[in-house]
Amino acid sequence: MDFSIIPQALPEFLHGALNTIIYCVVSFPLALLLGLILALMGSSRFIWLRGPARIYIEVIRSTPFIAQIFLIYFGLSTILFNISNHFGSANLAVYVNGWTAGIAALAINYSAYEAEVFRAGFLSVERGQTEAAFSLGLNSQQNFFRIVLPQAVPLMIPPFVNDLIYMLKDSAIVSVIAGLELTAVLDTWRIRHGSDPIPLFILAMVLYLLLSLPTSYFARWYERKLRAAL
Amino acid sequence: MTQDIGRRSFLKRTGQLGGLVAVGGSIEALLAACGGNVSTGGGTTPTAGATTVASAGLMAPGNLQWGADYVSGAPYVFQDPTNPKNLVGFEVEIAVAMAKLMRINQAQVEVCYANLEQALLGNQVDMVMNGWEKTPDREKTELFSDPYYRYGQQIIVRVDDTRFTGVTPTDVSVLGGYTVGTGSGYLAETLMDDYNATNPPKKINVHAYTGNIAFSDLVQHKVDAFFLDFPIAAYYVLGTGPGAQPIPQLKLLGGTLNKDNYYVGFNKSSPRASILLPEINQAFSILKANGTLYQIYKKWQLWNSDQASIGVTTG
Repeated sequence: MDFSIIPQALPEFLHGALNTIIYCVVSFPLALLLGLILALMGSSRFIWLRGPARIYIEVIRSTPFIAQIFLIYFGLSTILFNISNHFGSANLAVYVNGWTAGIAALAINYSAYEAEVFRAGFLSVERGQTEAAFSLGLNSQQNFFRIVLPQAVPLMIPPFVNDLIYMLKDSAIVSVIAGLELTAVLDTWRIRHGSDPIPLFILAMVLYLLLSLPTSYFARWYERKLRAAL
Repeated sequence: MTQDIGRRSFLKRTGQLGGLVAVGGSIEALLAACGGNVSTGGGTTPTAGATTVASAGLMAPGNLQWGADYVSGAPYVFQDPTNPKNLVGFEVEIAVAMAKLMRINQAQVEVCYANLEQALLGNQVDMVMNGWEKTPDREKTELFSDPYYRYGQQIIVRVDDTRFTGVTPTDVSVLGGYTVGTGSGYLAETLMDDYNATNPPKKINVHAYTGNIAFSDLVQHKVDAFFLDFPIAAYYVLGTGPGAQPIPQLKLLGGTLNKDNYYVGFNKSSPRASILLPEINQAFSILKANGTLYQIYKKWQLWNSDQASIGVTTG
């Protein structure tokens, strides 16, 4: 094993790691927001809210991520291109690129899983808390934001962190739409330096560890803080 | 009681059926993992009086196992669109022709392109033949055959893109300032990265795709050009070969650049390589001289005058 290739490869690997961070930092909050909306819709008493939420969650969770990213990148792109051509307007397809489609695909895919995490979190709060809140005169909105959500959040942090760490690695799939992130950089380098790829694999693994471990430690610290505050 | 017996019997049968499915699936997975489960045709019927090439360097006597990636592998090695159980491609036909000379079977071993070198060095295959280039890094661990195809990198642009009107590219600098697509790990990507490393006034914005090359991105103006191996350009843009659909919105810009050759790669550290390599070279010599390679390249619209420089004749 010749580790002398590492200084040569490091700048591109760091650039790939930065792009991985960008994909996750932008996609995960979107996934959480969309997941929260879906969870609230899913627990609504109105069927016209509950139904679409459940269908969305089941379809997204049951279909391969790569199929979803292809649909967004190629399908949406083709639709926008044809519409632009039809109306003679500026080409909208250019806005569907490795970044926008990759972020959208990650956010849409993970929102389905986060919706279920939210739902489990809400259900884990004792029903008596809600009954007590209503008996004290709080309305539904006040009960949710002041009683249920604060108690549910510490319970949801571990699965959220789990999913964020998964997303760090799942972001590799954007390479199929020319997205450049850490695994794509590794792939290119190991094809070019196939005689001794082990140092490159080790470099990529170290970088992924450096991305994941601080996330885990920060999340545990934050969870402890939240529990103490409650 | 009768209902309980019926239920038990049903559960028993269901369990037996499930077990059969699990065993069958395991056997199929095992066969698939062994590779070569997709037929590449080929035969061993020798023509009377024809030259025979030795095959003493094979791992499995009588069976030439060559590594290639048929996923998105057109026109090299890919599944026949009309019958996905069969593989087609100009390299498939070369392998079949070689096997006929050697009076052996041949089998493509499916390996992801990025893993081909590791498969070769791990002695999972006798050789690699998949648009394989000789690079300084590969020369550390591999032996190479004589070249069997001379190719170059081709620029592809939109037919209506006036920025390239009248442009005859002589080198990759013509792509400076543009967004150019190619395949991840392709030599074209290396050439563009090397160009960018010289800090030119206008760098090339390289978009590298893993797996399928999205020529639709060029049609939809998401990239300004593509730069990749001529055989791929010929298949996808000009529509040569089975299942190919020409893309009328695109055209090849000028001739090929950075000409190079395709070789067969062997594991340098394997004692069999030094035996098999001259046997493959002998096969190539015969196929070049008797017009077989010419016929294959003509069929796939890959023939050009460059092939004469590596000894390929019309026979």
